[in-house]
Amino acid sequence: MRGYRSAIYEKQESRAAFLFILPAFVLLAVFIFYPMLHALVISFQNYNLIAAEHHFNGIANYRKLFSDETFGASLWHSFYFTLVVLPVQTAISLGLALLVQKKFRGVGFFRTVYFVPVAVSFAVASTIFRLIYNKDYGMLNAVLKGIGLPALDFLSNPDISMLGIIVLCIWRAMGFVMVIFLAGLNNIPDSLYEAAHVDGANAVQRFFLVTLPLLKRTMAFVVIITTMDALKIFIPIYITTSGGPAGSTSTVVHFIYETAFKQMNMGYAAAAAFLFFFLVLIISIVQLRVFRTDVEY
Amino acid sequence: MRKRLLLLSAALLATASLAACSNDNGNDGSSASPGSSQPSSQGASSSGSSDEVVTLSFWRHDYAPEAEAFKKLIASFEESHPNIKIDFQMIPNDQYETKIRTALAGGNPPDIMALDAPTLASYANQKAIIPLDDYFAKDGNKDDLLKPVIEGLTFDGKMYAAPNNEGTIVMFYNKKMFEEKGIPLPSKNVDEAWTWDQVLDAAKKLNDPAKGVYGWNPTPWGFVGHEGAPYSEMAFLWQAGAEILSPDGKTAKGYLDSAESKKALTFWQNLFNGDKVSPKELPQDAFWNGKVAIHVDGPFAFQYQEQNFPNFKLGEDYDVAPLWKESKMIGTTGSWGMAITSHSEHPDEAWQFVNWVTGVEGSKVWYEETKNLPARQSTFDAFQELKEYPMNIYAEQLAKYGHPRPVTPAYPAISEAIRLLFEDVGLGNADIDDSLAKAVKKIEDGIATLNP
Amino acid sequence: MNRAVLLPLRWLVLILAAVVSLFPIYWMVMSSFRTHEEIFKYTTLSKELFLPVHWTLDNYREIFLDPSKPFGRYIVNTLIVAIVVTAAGLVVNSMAAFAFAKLKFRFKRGLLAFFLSSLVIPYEVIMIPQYLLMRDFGWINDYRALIIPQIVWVFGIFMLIQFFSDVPRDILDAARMDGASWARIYAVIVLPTAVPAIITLGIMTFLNQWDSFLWPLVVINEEKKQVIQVAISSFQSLRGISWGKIMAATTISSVPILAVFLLLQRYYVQGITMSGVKG
Repeated sequence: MRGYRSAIYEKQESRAAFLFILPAFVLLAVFIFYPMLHALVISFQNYNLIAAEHHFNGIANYRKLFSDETFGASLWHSFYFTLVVLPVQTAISLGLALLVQKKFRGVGFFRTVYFVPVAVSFAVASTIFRLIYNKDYGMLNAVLKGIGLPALDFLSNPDISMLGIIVLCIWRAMGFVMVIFLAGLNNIPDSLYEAAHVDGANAVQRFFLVTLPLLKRTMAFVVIITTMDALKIFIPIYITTSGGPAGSTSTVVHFIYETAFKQMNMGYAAAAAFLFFFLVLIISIVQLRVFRTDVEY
Repeated sequence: MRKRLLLLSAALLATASLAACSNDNGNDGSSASPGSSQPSSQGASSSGSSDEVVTLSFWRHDYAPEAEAFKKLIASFEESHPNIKIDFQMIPNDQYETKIRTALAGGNPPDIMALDAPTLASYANQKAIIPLDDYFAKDGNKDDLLKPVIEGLTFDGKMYAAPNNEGTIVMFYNKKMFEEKGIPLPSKNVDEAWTWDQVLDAAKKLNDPAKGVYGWNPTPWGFVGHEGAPYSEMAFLWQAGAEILSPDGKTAKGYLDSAESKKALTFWQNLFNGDKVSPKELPQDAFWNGKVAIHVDGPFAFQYQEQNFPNFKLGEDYDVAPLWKESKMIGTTGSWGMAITSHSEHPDEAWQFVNWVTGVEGSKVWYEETKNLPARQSTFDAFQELKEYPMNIYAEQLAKYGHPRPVTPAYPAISEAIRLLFEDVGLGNADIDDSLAKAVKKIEDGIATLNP
Repeated sequence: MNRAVLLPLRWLVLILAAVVSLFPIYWMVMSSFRTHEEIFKYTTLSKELFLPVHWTLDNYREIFLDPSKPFGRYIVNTLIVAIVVTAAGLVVNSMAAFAFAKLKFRFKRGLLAFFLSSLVIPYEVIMIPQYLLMRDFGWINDYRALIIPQIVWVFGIFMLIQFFSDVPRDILDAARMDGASWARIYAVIVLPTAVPAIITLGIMTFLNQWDSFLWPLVVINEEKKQVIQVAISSFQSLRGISWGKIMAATTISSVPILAVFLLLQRYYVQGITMSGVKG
C-alpha cells in the first residue's frame, strides 16, 4: 500500500520537476547550447568573419593552437590571474562579511559602501582605473608620490600590469562576494556559537570549528563561481590595458575576441574557445568533486 | 500575500513583455532588416521610377564634428533627391569595427558603410563591398583625387571606396619652451624637416623630469590598443628606409627584419628607455597642458585646442612644423571613406549618396565642417587657408611625402604585429631581434590564413 | 589579543576598506563636476586634486540637453529591458533552482551538469552564433533579442540552489502528505524562506542587465533604442574623450542601483526566519 503511494508520488514529483525546469531548459538549449554547437562547427572550418562561404579544414585550427606562443601566453595569463584572485578575493570578502555581520550602529552604511563598486558598471570601473593608474598623472601615483612611496606603473610595466588588473577586479567584486558570504553566515545559528563558547573555544577556534565548516556550501559556490568568472575575464583587459603592455595582460578571452573580431579569423578563435572550454570543464569537475561531500546533489 | 506577489509579478511580466514586443513591431518596419526597401518598391527599380521611396542605411563611427557635416549633407541630399531617404546611424568609435563586422557576418549590413582605408582590402577580398570603378567613370571625377588616395583605396586593380578626406600628422611644438631653452625653432618648410637626431637633441634639452615634462611624444595617442598606434609608428620604419612587406605582399621576412628596421627600433627603444625623453603612458591632453614639448597630431587638433584650451594659442604658445625624417621623408596617410556593401539592393542610389558626400562639392562642405585634409585637388584649390600656415604644411607634406599603409587583406595581422612590435621594444624594452622575429611570424601567419 | 586592541583595529579595517571602496567612485563623481581642462591638470597631492576648483554642472547639462543623444531615453530603454529580464528571470530561474535543490527525479545529475557546464563558456565565444540566431529569428534591432536570451541565468540558478537546499525535505514531505501540489509548496513554503536570496538575485540580475554592453551593441542598430552603457561609450571618440560627460553619465546611472541597494540591504542580510527548522 505504502509502496504504491510512494510510486505515484515519485512519478508526480518527477513530472513536476521537469515542468519546473522546462522553461529554463528550453531557453538554455536554444540560446546557449545551440550557439555553442554552432561555434564548435565553426572551429573546424576556415571561417573568415565576413566571408560569404566557409570551408571545412578539419583539425587544422586546433593543431595551429598548439604551436601558437601568443595563445599559450594567454592561457598562462588567465590561470595566473585566477590563481591569485581566487584566494585573495575570497579571503578579503569573507573578512569583510565577518566584520559587518554583527549589527552595530552604522553597519548598514558600511555594507552599502562596500557594495558601491559593484553598482558601477565594469566597463566604467575599468575606464576609471585606467585613469587612476596613469604613471605620472593618475590619482594613485599622485597620492603615492605625495606620501613618499615610489610610483606604480601598472599600465606600462609588463611585469606588474596583471597585478593592476587583479586589484581592479578584487576592488569591484569584493562587495558582491561579501553579500553572498553574509547570507551564508546568517544561516549559522547563534546557538552553535554559544555552545562552542560555553565549551571554552576562543574566537579563532570558533571560526575554524563552527564558521568554516558550516560555510562549506557557500564556500563551494563562491569558489566555483569565482574561478569561472576569473578564467573568463575580459572587460577590464579590453578597456584598461587593451591586452598590453606588450601583451602582458592578454587573457584567453581577450585572445579569442581579438582573433575573431580584429583578425576576423573566426574559426581559429572558436577552436581556441573550445580548447579552453575543455580545460575549464576539467577544472570545474575537479572542484565539484572536492566540494561534493556537503552539497546536496 | 506571497502568492499575490507572485501573481502580480507574473502579470507585470506578461504586460511588460507584450508592451516591449508590440512597441517594436510597430516601428520596426523598415529598420528590422537594414538595406531593404519598403515593400512597395521592388528591388529592380532604380532611380528611374521616382514615386517609390528608397531608404538607405548608412553606418559610421561617432565623432561630433563629422556628425554635423553629415547632417548638413544628408539634408541637402534628401532635398535634391526626394525619392531617397538616408537612415544614418552612428556607432561608438571604439566599437565600430566589431559592430560592422558582426553585421557583415550576419548578412545584414547597412547599404553604405564607412571604412578606414587600410581595412579596405580585407572587406574587398571577401567580396563584402562592391567595386566602384564604373560609377567613378560615370560621374565620380576620379582624376580629381590625389594619387596616394587612389593608391590606398585600390585593391586588385579596382577601387572599392570613395574617400571623405585624407589625413596625415605633423610636428607640434611648445614655442615658449623652445624659446626659454634657447633652442632654434624648426623650419616650417616641408622640404627642410628636422632629422630624428635634431629632434632628439632638442628633446633632451626640453626634458624636465622634475617638473613632469617630457621632451618628445612621437605618436598622437601613445601606446593605444587601436589603429592609431601603428598608423604613426609605421612612419618610423619607412623613414629609416625599411619596408614592411615584399613588393608582391607575400612575405615580411627579409623586409621587416632588415637592418634599417633595426636602426629605427633601436632609436625608438632609446626614446623610452635610454634617454627617456618620451612618456610611456601618455596622459590626456599632455601637449595642451604643457607636459610634452614636442608632439604630433592631425589637423583636427586646431579645432580641439580652440574648443578646450582657448588660452593656449597657435603662434604664441605653440607652433607647427613638418614631421621629422631620417633617410627618407615620409608621413603616413590614409583615412576614412565610404563603401557600398554587396548586400545592398540599391547600389545605384547608394552611389548617388556616396558621390554627393565625397564628390567635388561635398568634399568642400566636408572640409569646411571638419577641417580634415581633403582628398581632392579641387578642394585644395578652393580654400585659401590650405595654402597658408599652418594647413599648408599638411597639404604639402601629404602631396609630396604621403605614404599609405599596405593594401592587403592581411592588414589586420600586420597592424597588430607592428603595434605589438613597438610596444615590446618601447614598453617592454625587449630584445629587438626577438621582437622582430615575432612580428614577422605574426604577419606570415596572417598571410597564410588568406591562402589556405 | 585583548578587547582594547581588537575594537579600534576593527574600526580601522572597516574604515580603510570603506576608503578603498569609495575612492575611485569619489574621484569619478568629483570629475563629473569639473571642466575638461581641470580633470587632468592637478597631479600633486593638494586640495585641488580632491576637490574641483571650478565647480560646474555643464557636463550634466550637456548630457541631457544633447538632442542627438537623448540620455533620458537611454535610461528608459535600459530600465525596461532590465526590469523585464529581472522579473522573468526570477520566475524561471527560481523554479529551476527549486527543482534541482529539493526534488527527486531521474537524470537530475545529468541535467545539473548540463546547466552548470554552460557557465564555462565565455559570452564572447557564442556572440556571433547567437547573433546569427537572432538574425534567423528576425529579432535584430528588436528588444526581444535583448530580453529573451538573457532570462535564464545559470549563475542565478546555482546561487538559489544553495539557499533552497536549506529547507528540510521533511517539511515538504509533510505538505505533500497533506495533499499540496508542488506548485503550491514552491510558492507558499519554499519561496518565502528564500526572500533574501531572491532579492539578492533580483539586484544582481538588474545590475547585470544595466551593465550590458557588447550584446546590445551588436544587436541594436538604431541609436534611439540603445541602452545606457553603449550610449556612454559613445562619448569616447578617437580625438577627444569627454571624460567629464562620461563621469557624469556614469554617476547618474549608478544612483538608482545604489538607492535600491541601500533600501533593500536590510532585508536580505537578515537571517532566514524559519522557526523550528534548525537545531
